[in-house]
Amino acid sequence: MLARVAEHLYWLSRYVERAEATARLAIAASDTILDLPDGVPYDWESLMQVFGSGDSDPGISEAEVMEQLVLGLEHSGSIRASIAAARENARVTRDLIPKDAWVALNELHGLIERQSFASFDRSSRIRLLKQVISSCRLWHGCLMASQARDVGWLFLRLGDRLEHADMVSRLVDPRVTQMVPGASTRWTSYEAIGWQNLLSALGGVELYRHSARNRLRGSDVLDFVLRDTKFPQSMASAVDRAGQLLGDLPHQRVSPDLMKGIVGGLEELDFERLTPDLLTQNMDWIQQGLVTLHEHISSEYFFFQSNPS
Amino acid sequence: MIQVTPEIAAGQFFDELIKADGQARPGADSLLNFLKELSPQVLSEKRAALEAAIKSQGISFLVYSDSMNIDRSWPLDLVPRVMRASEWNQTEAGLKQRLKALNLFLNDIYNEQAIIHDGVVPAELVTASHHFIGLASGVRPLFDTWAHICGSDLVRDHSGQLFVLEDNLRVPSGVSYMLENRSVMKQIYPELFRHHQILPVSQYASDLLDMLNALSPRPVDHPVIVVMTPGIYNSAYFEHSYLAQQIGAELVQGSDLFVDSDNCVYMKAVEGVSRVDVIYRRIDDTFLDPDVLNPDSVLGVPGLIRAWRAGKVSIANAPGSGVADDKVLYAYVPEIIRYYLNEVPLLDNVLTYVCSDPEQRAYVLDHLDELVVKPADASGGHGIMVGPHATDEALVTRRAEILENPRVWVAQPTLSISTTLTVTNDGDLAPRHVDLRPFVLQSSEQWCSTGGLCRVALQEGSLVVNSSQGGGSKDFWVVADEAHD
Repeated sequence: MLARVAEHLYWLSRYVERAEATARLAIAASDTILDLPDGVPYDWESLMQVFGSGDSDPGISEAEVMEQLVLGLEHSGSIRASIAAARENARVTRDLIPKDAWVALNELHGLIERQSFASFDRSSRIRLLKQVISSCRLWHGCLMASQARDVGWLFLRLGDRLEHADMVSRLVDPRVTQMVPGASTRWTSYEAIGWQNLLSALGGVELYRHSARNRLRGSDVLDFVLRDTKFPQSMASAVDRAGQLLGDLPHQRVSPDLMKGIVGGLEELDFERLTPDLLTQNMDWIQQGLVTLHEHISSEYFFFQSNPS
Repeated sequence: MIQVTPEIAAGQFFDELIKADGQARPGADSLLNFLKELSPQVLSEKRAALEAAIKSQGISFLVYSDSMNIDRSWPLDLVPRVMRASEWNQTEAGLKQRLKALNLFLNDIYNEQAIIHDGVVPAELVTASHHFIGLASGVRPLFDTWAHICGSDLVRDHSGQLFVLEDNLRVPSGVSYMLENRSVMKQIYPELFRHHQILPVSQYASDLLDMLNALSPRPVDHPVIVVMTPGIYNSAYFEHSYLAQQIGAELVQGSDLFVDSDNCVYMKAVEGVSRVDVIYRRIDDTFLDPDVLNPDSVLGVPGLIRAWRAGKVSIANAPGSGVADDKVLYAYVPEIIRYYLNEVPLLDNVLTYVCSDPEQRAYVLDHLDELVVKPADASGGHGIMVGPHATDEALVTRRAEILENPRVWVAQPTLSISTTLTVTNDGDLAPRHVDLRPFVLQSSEQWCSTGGLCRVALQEGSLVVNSSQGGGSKDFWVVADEAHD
């Protein structure tokens, strides 16, 4: 497989995953605030700091955040920008992906572009977000059924899993959940709502119930989304899979062991005794580790330097 | 809903579906019956379904002249053009004959040049053509074949006779739209395909693959074939990607390839490097190799011509093939067929005046307002002046251009090219002018598409069918002859 094409497939997957994860986050946040009493504010600014450009306005409103997260063009992580970028990468690799997968992506792109010029009230927003998720699921289904299991598949999956690990690290950030287990926050009396928010952003509410068999507890939820390998959307699952994929790549030019180093700090974390700063710090380390890993993959596989003779 | 226009009734235009008396042409009767019974509402539903299918499948082309380079949906008309298999078979034989002769010509002019020594084709027409590549001289590609893929444009005049309007031997495009048009039409009109004997077009991809496989310089079972594209900003990128997918080849850009000291071409893959046997290139000659052709080309591969000359890689079409689709040379094709094959041309040329010839030039200048004047080496309909539709100013300008450099101009009578019912902007059916581009392949043997890409001028009275200039397209049906014919 051409090095250039492998890179496009890798980014294609990253952008699709980014769009889906952002849609899940936006739905979960929208759901949460419906359950909060009037006096309890939701910190939209922090959410934008974690998912947006990092320098959002203080006092930014729900509507503005949603507009930026979903349709914003100036914000490169918005769903609209992600789907547009995914489609550009798919256009270049169209000869290698199943036609129905391309059609799913292309239709989603059309839907979002039309939406941006229409009114964007709460119910049409939720409808669009659900459509984004189901289109992304359709995309995955088409790949599962028809994508060749060759080296291109490895890069598609690798992009997906690395992006997912990155998104999980952002979702559990206390600035997004607005809570840590045990610590007292202005949210304490609504703790269950916050943890439910996190689980639902990862599509894991039911699996958590089956696995934990108790009421929602912060430390259990964090353990579940970060360390439980039976939950396919957990950090641990994403990292394990990415490690396997690195091991399967031609000539194993990037060591699978690098993955372990990135999440090594998680093993020692005691979720019962966690300060917000410590959790944020750990998630930042993971994000930096993922960036370094990405640079490694790029230089080993995408920027072709091998001497041919 | 369907009415015969006065022009068709008077025999001024040949209509592909309806005779002058309003009756259906043989092969088109059940299509016309179907169209007659189609209510305006169903017609507009079908039209919406067709547009949605094209949009969701992303069948598109890029237009440069817009303020932004945007992907436009491919314009496909709801009404197909129909031809009976008996007529098609004769046409196909004529096209194959033509390509065979053109390949003998190319092999000759880059080697012995017998046709020049025998005085059939003037030397300056060949060597002064800027599609002539000196570095190609002395090369003998496999099967002595240079133009492996040819798209010739056919038109029909008012008498019903088919003519070749031009040959495209450099990087002929459009075949993906022929294939996609059919696939969309089958979704829109399942009922028609059930009741017609419409010959399939889908074997083109297999034929193309067979043709390219035969070109491999290495005797291997699965030669490495690549489709070489200038990239996603090329207007035909959709087609490059589509064809690569259909034949299972890698879609490469110049930067993905390099030529090593062993003169072999390699591609840069995540697994390492792998040798390339056949390049189906979709970039123009001049961009192929910055070492020896256009040094500014970032699309090409340094050393590619060296690899090709050494016989380590096949390039389809071979560099320098464009000499044979020059519009001046076109005038000599009937002679070329007689010279190499000793056969009567099965398909006629349109009468063509070559402005480098003083007598013919005088005639052209005297009849400028009646003729179509074309530059010898442009494509996509650019630079064409249709005399009867031209302003006085345009006529004056063109006259000066011809006098200044006669070699680059040819002229042809304005043809009353045939029409086919087409859905108009108002949702009615009205006749619009059409042409046809079949695709012929040649390496170890010859293959021809079943039918071709039918293009239609969407504006009333217009003769411009190019999609970049507002033309549309139609599915083209070759239908089996009825038993009693």
